[in-house]
Amino acid sequence: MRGLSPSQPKIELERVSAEFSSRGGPLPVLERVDLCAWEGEFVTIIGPSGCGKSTLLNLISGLQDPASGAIRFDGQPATHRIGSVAYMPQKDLLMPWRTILDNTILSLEVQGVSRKAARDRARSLFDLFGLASFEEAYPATLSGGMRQRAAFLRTVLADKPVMLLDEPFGALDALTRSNMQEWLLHLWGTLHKTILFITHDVDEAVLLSDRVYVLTARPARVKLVLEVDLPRPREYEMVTSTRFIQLKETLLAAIREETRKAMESDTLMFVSPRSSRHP
Amino acid sequence: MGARTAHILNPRWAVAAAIVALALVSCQAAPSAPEQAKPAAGSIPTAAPAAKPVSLSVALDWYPNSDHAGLYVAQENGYYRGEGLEVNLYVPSNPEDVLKLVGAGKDSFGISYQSDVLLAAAEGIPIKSVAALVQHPLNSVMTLKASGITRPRQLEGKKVGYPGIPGHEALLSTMMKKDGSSIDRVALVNVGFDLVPALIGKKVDAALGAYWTHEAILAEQEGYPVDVMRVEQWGVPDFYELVLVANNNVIRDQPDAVRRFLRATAKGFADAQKDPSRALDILVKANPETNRQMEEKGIRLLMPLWTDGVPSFGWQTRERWQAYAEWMKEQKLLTTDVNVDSVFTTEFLPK
Amino acid sequence: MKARETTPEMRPVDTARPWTPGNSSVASSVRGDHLAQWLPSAGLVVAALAIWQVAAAALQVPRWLLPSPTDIAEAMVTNRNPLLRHTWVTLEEVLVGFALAFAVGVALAIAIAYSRTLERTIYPFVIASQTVPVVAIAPILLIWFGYGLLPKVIVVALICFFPITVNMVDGLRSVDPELVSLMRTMGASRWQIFSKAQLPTSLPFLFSGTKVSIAVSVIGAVIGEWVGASAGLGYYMVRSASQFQTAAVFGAIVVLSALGIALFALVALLERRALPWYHQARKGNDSEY
Repeated sequence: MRGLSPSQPKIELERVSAEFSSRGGPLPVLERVDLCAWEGEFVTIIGPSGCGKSTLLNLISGLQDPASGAIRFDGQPATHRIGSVAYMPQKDLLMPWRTILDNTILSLEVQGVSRKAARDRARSLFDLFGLASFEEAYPATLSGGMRQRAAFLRTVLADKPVMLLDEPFGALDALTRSNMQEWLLHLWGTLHKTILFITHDVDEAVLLSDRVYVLTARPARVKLVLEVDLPRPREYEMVTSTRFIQLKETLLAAIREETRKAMESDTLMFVSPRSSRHP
Repeated sequence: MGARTAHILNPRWAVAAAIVALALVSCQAAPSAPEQAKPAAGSIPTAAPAAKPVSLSVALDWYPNSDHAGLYVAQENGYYRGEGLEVNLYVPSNPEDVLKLVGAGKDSFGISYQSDVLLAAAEGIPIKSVAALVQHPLNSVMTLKASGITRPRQLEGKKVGYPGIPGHEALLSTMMKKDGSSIDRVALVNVGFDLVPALIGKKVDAALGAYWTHEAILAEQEGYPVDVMRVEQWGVPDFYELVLVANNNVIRDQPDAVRRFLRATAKGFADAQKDPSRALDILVKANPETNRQMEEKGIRLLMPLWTDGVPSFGWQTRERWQAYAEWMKEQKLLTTDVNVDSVFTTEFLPK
Repeated sequence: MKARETTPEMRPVDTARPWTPGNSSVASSVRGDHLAQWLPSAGLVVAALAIWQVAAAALQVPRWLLPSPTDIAEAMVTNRNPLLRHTWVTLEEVLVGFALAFAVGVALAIAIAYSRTLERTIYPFVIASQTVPVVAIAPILLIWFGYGLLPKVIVVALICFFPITVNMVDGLRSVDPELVSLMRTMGASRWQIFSKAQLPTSLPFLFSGTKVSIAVSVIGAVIGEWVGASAGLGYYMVRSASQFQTAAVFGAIVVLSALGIALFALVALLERRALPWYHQARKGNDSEY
């Protein structure tokens, strides 16, 4: 849900280039990328595998610095940005030695919140995240979907205005994934966060986002910025609406073109998005 | 549910037990002597002197030193060969095993202590002393001259280091009593076999178990004059410091070989007494690590004890054995009565 | 294809086994496992002893050379008072020495894992310390540190710290680098990453090293005593050997083995308590996926 747009984007990347150090020397990964996310927006980034989406998140989270270009938060240069965003990586990275409850409070702990207060805060959300009665369980006993939800709860609890989600549903099976998407849609209204979301799944991109950035093959530039003007709150049934399919086709065309280019220039294969046909 | 996994504790318990047991069983008592070549067969085959030489092995009590001079001289001068014997002199990796090795038949002869022979006999180990190599005790309590301690009762309130051998405690106890004091007023400290460093380093005030023919000279060599309290001068019965033992079966089945061995050995000791320097040359050849400088003095101090006050080399008397056994019993070192006649014999000594 | 539900909660259906500690059938089957697994090894011990006893009698092995199990038991019972006294002495050396080894071992591991410079400086010495034969330096330790408890404690510590250090360094280094990155994005300090991620990761490794260490700690105490002691099981063994009481020597070995096993079991027990998650995962869980 987009509120009143302030004059400055929440996150802004201006002509950002980044490199990836490999055995053969520095590899250009991002080339003069312009990207922004306004407060309360859900922005998805999609592109061929290996095009640098994770690097983008590393840049925003502060794990990496750009080779050139500027990164701004709320219009200010974000030089000490590490610790300012909540990051959910592809792997849940739950600590096997901690209970689910204690895993979810990790970010709060790092921020100095007392364990008791953090646990109370977390407990109140367990029901909402479908983890009720698993507070004292260890990650090893949970299914993949539940672990992702626990990791998501950890990210939400970090209480940062920006959330970076790196293919959070990518490793789940189709059933669980569509469940999670539905769940996220319903949660979206209550969260009031700015979200940057990475995915391979075109359906997911259109269903969840306000805007979608399509990146080219490596070195990545912004190929297309698509405004998803579907009404909010969204429902899963929208996937069959005409407008949805139109948007999806636009995206697919852009992506396929890039995939072809990526294959030609010997980059990694792009995994084909799921068919848009009826389930 | 996966296959039933083995309980975590059990395999590891077995491994832990194996590790501990294996390591412990493979080491016995204090390791001190170097590894030497294994001896030749212990049992003596029945061969006439003129035929193939008879193989014998002798397990020594310590690294080759003046105590063994006669044996090495006999070997070098061909006396054993002359008697139709092929003798292997060696030091077992654990010198405390000498009597067990002889008792088990692994070695024909061994050199050991009179006290150990009595203890072994009490446990039924089948050995007998066939010759006394050193007629009097070499054991003593040694102090730095600078300390001014010259008699046992001056040890009251002091620290006495010793190698942890129970017999030594009894020696000191007798000495203290003889001088009107008690061992309870002395602090005994087990310092292993490094007596001289402990004394010189002032870790202890006196060293018990120091040989007045060996450690005393070592200390003086380091520049520390010492005083020596001989045990037999302070109430301890005059005992044989070293004896030569033989396995009972060997004595029973091969008496002639035993006789020949002792005859040659006696000749060796006689030669050594006549020319101690040459004896040392031979010793050094056998054991290059010999402390020549110390042994020059040591062997001359020791020589008289080979034949002092006895009709012939190796002589033993029933009175000495009996007196010593009684003293050991008194000191609770020996817990059973031992018939001393079964423990020694002079019948094989050259007349 | 499952029917679409439109319930307000929209709680996805998962089939993970609900688990709460203590009430599952898993716990009781573990106890059953416990006892059942005891029997084969206990049986083996009994069988070995029986064979030994019979062989000793049949082959007429002299008691002073190799005592039979009954000889050993008899010696242990006869000498139970001194045996007990010496056991306490050795146990004290083991426990104090091991505590020292643990403290030093962990400290070294943390230092080595902390910086490559420290690692390059310290590690060669750590390894060299293990190549020196303890039996050779023990007499030197006696001269330096006297003849009381200290030199034995040092010998034990010297032998025991190494497995702890090596294992724990590996453990500290085995932390998932992605987890470390994640914590950095949370704004975690180096200390927080160490205490919340590296340290817990290293615990299973630390326990591994500790188990090896404690099994050999008893040997260390005995070696220290052999060289210079007035009490303890090692001393008792030397003394008995010098008096040809081989059964007593074996009796001491039995006690030492029992000590080693008991200490090992204690550590294993502590491990199960400290790392419930580790053992659960190893038992094979039901993560449906």
